[in-house]
Order: sequence, then structure tokens, then C-alpha cells
Amino acid sequence: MRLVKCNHLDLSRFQFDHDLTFAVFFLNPEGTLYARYGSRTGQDADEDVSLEGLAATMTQVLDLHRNWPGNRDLLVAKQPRPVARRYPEEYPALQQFRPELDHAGETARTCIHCHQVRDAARIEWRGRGQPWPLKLLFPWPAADRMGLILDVDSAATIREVVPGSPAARAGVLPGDQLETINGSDISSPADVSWILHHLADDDSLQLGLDRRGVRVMAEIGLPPDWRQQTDISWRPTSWDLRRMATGGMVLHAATVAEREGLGIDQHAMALRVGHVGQYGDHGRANRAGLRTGDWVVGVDDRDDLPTESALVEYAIQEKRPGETLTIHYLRGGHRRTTSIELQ
Amino acid sequence: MRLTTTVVAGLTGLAMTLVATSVDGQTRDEKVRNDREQLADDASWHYDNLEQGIQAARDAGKSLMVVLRCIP
Repeated sequence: MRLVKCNHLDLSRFQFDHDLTFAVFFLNPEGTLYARYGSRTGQDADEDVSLEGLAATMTQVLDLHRNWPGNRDLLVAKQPRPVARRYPEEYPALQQFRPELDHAGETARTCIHCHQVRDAARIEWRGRGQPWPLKLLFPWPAADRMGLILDVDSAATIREVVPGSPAARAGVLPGDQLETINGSDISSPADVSWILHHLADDDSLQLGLDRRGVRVMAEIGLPPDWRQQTDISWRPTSWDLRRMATGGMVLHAATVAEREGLGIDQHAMALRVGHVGQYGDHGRANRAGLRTGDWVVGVDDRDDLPTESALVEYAIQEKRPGETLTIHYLRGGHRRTTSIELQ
Repeated sequence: MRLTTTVVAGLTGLAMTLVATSVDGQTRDEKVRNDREQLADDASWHYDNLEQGIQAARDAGKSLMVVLRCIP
């Protein structure tokens, strides 16, 4: 079954990371979801998927289908959650789209792209003048939030455990096969992200592992800011976040060497302006005088925002549209200050 | 484990998708139209018709693989 557009996509049934351009759902004819496939954690869209990984997930799906409905309890938490809007066209920002593409005319322009669904949800929240749910700003966290790097060619075999991470402290080992989280079947990295996406702030994670044929359990507790530590800069939807939060700047955290060159403390804020937009609301930083190569070292009274994602979170969660963001930056060794109106 | 026809079709389809997206020199509109032309009548796929796919899965007693793929 092939779907190529989000126009009139039933969002109550198909829930996935809208920054992806490739997502797979496995379900039975009654609509029970067996598994999701399709993940991305960085700039390379192909880094987190492979035909071997997809085949491994498919194999597990066949087992789930064979054992249905005796395995119903394993699948309960994977099922779609209630949604605010059933179809994308119900969002005010997408109301101009029609259910079908205009194949005789401007086909691509009449298509609701996946990222536009998340953009539309964020625009709606921004208009309310309230802080956003964290899962809207930091969606679909990957297993690395626990300190797990999964083997992309497997369903959910653990390739690496980051030293000192929550998973390492819980005793998880490379080679362990991740079978369940909190009693829910795990058949792909996307299944892990689904669980993390919907995890309540005070929830812990009970991992069910197969360690060379022996069932092992591991309890993982995540730090309070685990979700905010996610890098969202690679996401296509961050383009519109930059319009709202940085006046159209793309920012990159300084390397150790760059900090030394600038004479900036290793823990101080230092974000290099990698790009400034030119037009409309994406050009606000440009019109305020900021240029590519400048170094943002503070906003308002904050100099403790180490990444673009952290700065975006501050501007979105602490400031409302129409408010001013004061930006302190370095150019040629001189400190300057300007301001932009947030959107 | 032997893969069912449905799974093989899915793998074949994914490979076709990866090849299709590497084709240069097409406008975004052309990519969508060519994809549709290539796959709409392909026996391996139900193209952009969820109800048809669900009915086929029900008739065959198989699970359903739904691929959401942004073309441009």
C-alpha cells in the first residue's frame, strides 16, 4: 500500500514523525498496528534505515500477525492516540489544500508535505500564546536519549551503549536485543521512538532484553531534561521554528578550537551564525544587522543556552509573538547588541 | 523464514522507490506523476487507496504494509 501525500491522511490512524520522508506502518485488516518503521536522527536521511533493518522488522511483524490476537497486550501501547485534528486540512494553516492532488496541474504545490502537518500544529500553538507541550517541540526522541545506539540493520539490536548513560548504569550491554519497553513490543527503532515520544515526564523505562537467549530486564531512569537535550536542528520543521525564534538564523555551536580562538570559556554560550534568511519573517535577523559568521553569545539575560535547540526552546517557551529578543553577538572581536521581534 | 508475497512486494517496492528518487532532471511535478504512472497499475502495490488495500489484506488474511513516501 503506497501513500504519497498527507492530503486527507487520517491522522487518528497514521501517527509518525512528520520530519520523515519515508515511514512505514504494519497493521492488520482490523486496524491494529503491529509496528512502525522509519527513523531519522540527523542530517543523513539514510543513516537510520536500511533494507536489512526493514526486513528484520517485517519478519517480526509476520510473527506478530501469526500470533494475533493472543499477543494483544503486547500491542496496546503502540496503538494511535487521540488527536486534535483528524485530517491535516482541519488545521487553519492548511485549509487551502484539497483532499486530492492536482495531477493535471501543479502537482507538488497541491500536496500537503509531511513536515507541513507539524508546522501547522506549531503555528496553531504559537497563536495561543502558551508554552508548547515538550513533545511538540522535541518530537520522537531516539534510543540515544537512553544511551542506546541501535544496529540499523536489525529490528532493535543494541549496537552500542554510551558509557555513563542511563542504559549503561542499568546494565544494558551491546548485543542485547531490545524486545519490549514497559511491556510493549519493540520491532523497530521507530517503535522505541513512539514509546519515548509519549513517555510522561515522571515515567521510567522497563526494558525487556534478550541476552543470548536469556530474558533480562533493565530499569532505566531518565534525567529531568532528557527530552530537551534532543538535537532538533536537522529537522525540516526547524526551518519554521527559526522564523519564529531566531529571526531566520541557522546557528551552530562552537567547537572547542573555535572557543579557544574566540577566547570564550568552554561552557559559555557561543553559536556561530551559519545562515541568515533574506526575506519576510525569515529575514528579521538580517534586517537587525546580523550576518553569517557572527557569534551569538547571549540573548536577553541568558548566556547559558549551548545549542540552537536550547535557544529555540527559550524563545518559544518563554517569549510570545510580538515580544523582543535582545541578541548579543561578536563580530571581529567586538561585542554588539541588536534585537528582533519574535513571530 | 520464508517471506510472504506481501513482504517481497514491499521490499521490491522499496528498492524501486530508492531507484526512482535517484533519477535526476525531473521537476517535482514530474517525479510525482511518473511515480504514479509507474506504480498505480503495478500489481505489487495498492496506490493511494487505503480502503482497497485493507480489503485486499482482509481477503488474503495477511497483514498490511503501508508506505508513506514523500516524492519531491
